[in-house]
Amino acid sequence: MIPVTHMLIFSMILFGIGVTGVLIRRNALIMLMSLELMMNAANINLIVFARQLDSLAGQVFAIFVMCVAASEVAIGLAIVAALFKNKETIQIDHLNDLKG
Amino acid sequence: MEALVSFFSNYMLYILMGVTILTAVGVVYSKNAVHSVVALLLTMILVAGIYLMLDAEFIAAVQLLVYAGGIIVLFVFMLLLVALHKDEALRLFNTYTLISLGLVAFLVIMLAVVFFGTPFGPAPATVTNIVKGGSTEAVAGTLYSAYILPFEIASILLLVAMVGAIVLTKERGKS
Repeated sequence: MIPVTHMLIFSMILFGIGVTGVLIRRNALIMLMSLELMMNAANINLIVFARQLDSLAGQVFAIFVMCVAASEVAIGLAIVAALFKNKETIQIDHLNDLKG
Repeated sequence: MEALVSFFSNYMLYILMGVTILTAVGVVYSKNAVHSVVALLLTMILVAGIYLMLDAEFIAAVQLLVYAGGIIVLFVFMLLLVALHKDEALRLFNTYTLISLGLVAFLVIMLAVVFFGTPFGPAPATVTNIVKGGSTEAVAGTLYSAYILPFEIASILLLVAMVGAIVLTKERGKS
């Protein structure tokens, strides 16, 4: 098996790509997809340490993370739908109504 | 044949990791949002492959069902409902792209230093607990005994998410 450090580096790069997507994209849908990438990176870490420590707690928590990710996507996409209905756009930087 | 098997058992995980990073970059940098969704689908399938290589068969199946089967379909639906804007092609990225990239690179490098400095020890060659009686049985035994309370809370969370999504998207009172 390959060392844990390599898997950690990989999942960290995946997380970094997700952070980059949230920071630099203007499309709300792409931002939600990047959030999914970040959740997956966290999940990979949990699975890696579940194998490293030979403990099932990591796998169980990965299931909980997936549960949270699914509800987050459902709510997030509902918010995007409501935004589009009211504003006719999902470009994040057009949604600055609260700016003073 | 022997050489092929040993090659794949040694390097399959690295191959999967490399392709996953490529598709993840595709999610963020695609011009067309449909391409992003397809790249996300590929990423999820490849991550399921990584779970398989790490002795987590049940998690891999759940990953395929929940992400590739459910969440991607939601994204595709939303993409078709939300007609892509006319000026989408004009400016893809935010104003602070370079600063953001620099900050993320800084984060990655700092975390890499921490990870390389931490002695995790070698990965175990064989595992017993997490594959006892099959991955599914082992996960179920832990989930329904030690973690039964978080499990129930998760079900409430899903219920709240369902009600919230319905309330957010339904037509506001016509009265």
